[in-house]
Amino acid sequence: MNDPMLALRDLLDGQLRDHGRRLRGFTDPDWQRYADLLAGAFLLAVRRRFAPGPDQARVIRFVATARERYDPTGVTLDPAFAEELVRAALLDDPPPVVDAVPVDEAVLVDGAVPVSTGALVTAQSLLLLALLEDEGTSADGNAELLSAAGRLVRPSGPARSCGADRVAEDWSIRPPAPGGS
Amino acid sequence: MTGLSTADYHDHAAARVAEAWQTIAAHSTQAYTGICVVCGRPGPCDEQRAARRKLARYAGTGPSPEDAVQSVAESLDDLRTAWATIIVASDRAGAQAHGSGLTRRLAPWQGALTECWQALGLVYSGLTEARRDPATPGGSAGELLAGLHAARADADRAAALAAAVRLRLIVAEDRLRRTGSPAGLLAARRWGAAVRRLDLVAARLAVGSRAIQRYADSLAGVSEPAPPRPPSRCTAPAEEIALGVRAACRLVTARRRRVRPGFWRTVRQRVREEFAW
Repeated sequence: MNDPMLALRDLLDGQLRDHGRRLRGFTDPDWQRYADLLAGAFLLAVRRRFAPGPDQARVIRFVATARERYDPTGVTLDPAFAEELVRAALLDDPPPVVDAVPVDEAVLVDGAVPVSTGALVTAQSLLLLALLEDEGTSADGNAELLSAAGRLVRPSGPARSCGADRVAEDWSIRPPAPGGS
Repeated sequence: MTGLSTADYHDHAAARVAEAWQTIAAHSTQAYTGICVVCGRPGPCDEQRAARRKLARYAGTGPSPEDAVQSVAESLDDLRTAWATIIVASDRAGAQAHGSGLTRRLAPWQGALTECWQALGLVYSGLTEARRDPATPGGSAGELLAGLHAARADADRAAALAAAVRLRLIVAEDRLRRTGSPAGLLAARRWGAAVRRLDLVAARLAVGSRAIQRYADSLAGVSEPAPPRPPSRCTAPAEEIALGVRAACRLVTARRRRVRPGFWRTVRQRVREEFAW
């Protein structure tokens, strides 16, 4: 595993000192890989917990408990944005919120809430931690989730496989036919 | 005891055993569809079960493994009823004992609630294992799907119950917190802990339900769409990502300090609790 994956694993395992130590050595591509892995792990964890559907009560309740745990002042984690993020992860074609831009050029998520990249990464990190805490996953479970996320997001190297078949295997579904779209 | 002589009884038993074998052979379950070829119902059908029971009785071997598994499956309802009864009893006793100092003595009841849940989980897992055993051919695809559906329904019912209790606890916690008395604050804090525990129960039930749904879909041949890929690569500047990650780390660290306080903070909290009592 490369350093971004190890750093994210430290965060999920609660090893905050190791996480901070690894972050200090990050280069620009490492930060971007970290954000990719975070987005992938968040996507998988959300789809493992929630079923797509019109009932939003569970999403609202989950975001409320996550804010209660990690943001008791209620300032950092915007509830509308966090709920939109979870709902977007359940869509078949999630909007590209990860490709956000600097703070001064705020992104409009669902045309309503201005969000910076920093706020997006913070929200994804906190929601992912809350999801895994609720599930009670072990360190091995976290490692498996990150491995699946690593296969889900496109690797940085040009010659590496995108691993669609392995992702399908993780989700206990049939991989698409070789000639299919 | 029967009024038959030994020879007559032997003939009678041999005839019943032969009939049972014929029934079992006729009412066979089609492996592909899991349907009885005679009855058209999910197999093994009632006739085949009765024949197997008859065979076991005349062969003197006691209940067959299939019957044993079936009896356990039928006892699930009793376990669910017991769980519901414990909830009601605990609820009533808690309401009566509130403020009378009996709350601590009622703690084992809460433990019984957990134990009952664990027992229910163990029975379900035991049934799953037993149905994998070739000696107990009772686990057709139809039965398995029905079992999964029942398990999901149980989980949904439990989650709804937990949500209702959670709302009542939140209201009570808020009410007691506003009294400002030490005993009220302590009770409010404990009910707050209970609310968080219920959140955990609801979250784990949701994860379990989702896993069951995916498994049942895969059994029924309904393939779930693969998770969509997140955008190909994050092109945001590294400084922005670092800002977000560090903000998250600060919040996680602050939360850890709240949840896992140091030694002296723990001592202060215990002293406050002692004085409250």
